[in-house]
Amino acid sequence: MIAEGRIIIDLGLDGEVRLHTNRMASVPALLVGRSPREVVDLLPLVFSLCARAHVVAAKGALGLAVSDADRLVVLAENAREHLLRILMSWKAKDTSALPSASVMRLVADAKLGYVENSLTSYLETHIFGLPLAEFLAFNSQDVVQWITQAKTVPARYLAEIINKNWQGLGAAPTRFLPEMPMEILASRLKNPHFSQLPDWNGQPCETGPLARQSKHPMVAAAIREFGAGLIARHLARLVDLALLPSQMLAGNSSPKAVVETARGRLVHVAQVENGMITDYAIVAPTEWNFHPNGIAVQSLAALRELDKTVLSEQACAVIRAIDPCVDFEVRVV
Amino acid sequence: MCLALPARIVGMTSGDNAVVSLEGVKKEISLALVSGVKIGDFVLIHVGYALNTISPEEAEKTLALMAEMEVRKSELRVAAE
Repeated sequence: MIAEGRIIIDLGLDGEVRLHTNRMASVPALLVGRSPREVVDLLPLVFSLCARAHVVAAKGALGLAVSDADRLVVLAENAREHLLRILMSWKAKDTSALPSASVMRLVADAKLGYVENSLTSYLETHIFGLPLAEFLAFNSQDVVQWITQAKTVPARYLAEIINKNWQGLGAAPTRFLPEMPMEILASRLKNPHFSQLPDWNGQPCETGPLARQSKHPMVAAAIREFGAGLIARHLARLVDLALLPSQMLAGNSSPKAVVETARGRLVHVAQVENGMITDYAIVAPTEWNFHPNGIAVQSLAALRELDKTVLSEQACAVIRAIDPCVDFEVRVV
Repeated sequence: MCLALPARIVGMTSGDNAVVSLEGVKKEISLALVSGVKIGDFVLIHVGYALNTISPEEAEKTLALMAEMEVRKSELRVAAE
């Protein structure tokens, strides 16, 4: 039976959090015994969200050339994934739904000279309601003014978070995943449990938009004021998104087995003998962020709410802000 | 990891929703993110949304790979015991 992977979170009113998963993905088992070319052709069929990032990470791990087109399509995929999260869960009462057609076409339309312009136009019209450079230069007062006055879905959604006083919801001390030297990573990946339960120097670490953008002035100010909670996470996603069109124009296609996806760092490691894969490992960002002691669990443990319905609503908001790549279920027990 | 989940549209329901069949199991999903989908089309599903349509050939290949993955996984489990 092919089942969609799922994260299940049991939440107690006393702050106890238990995370388990039935994901059991075993893509590496499918790759052993195939040629590098077969692997690159097969990966887009088995992954739904970050398929292009998996292909580029595989090319890096297998020593195959990565083109400018590959690099561009990963950035387009990152934009689609951020926007997909916004389309699926950033809703506000007083706005109409965001248009989805051009978002869902971003990966297919990933041609330089087109995609960066169509993305910029979508973001400036529907997400920010102003030029990207203007948003990226916001100070704290500008952010508050934008949230209060802009009519876009993200601004209205963030206004609802402020109205509920949820700016710091789920704020917990976090440790961002540092640069991982490839030789150490390759040796850690020899342990089959590492792909499912990764840690770095014994600690579960966070990867993703907040880790990438924590030093951006707008995000850093939100962390200083409210901690690494909802508003900092959402602003980090918006900053990450606003930076993508300019990254599309900056060419650099060196092969990389470590690829930054919308949700965080994706790593492939392969061993090839006589033109055949003999060993393969993948660590996806959700394994870091939704580790049983990782940032999602720490953020949920920080919730203090005695009403079960509200607690469940808060938990869902926190989980969606961290953005797992599979479905989830919260059970307040 | 976000595995692709191809499913065939077997019926339309109210609003933006449709019923899909996945290995014979029926499930209601949202078509809010896709357009022009009709009964008989294959779509990739993520958290209850259809993400895009795929050809029947692509769906068949993906389902065969998923089935192979299950077999290999159980072989590995047996080998490990």
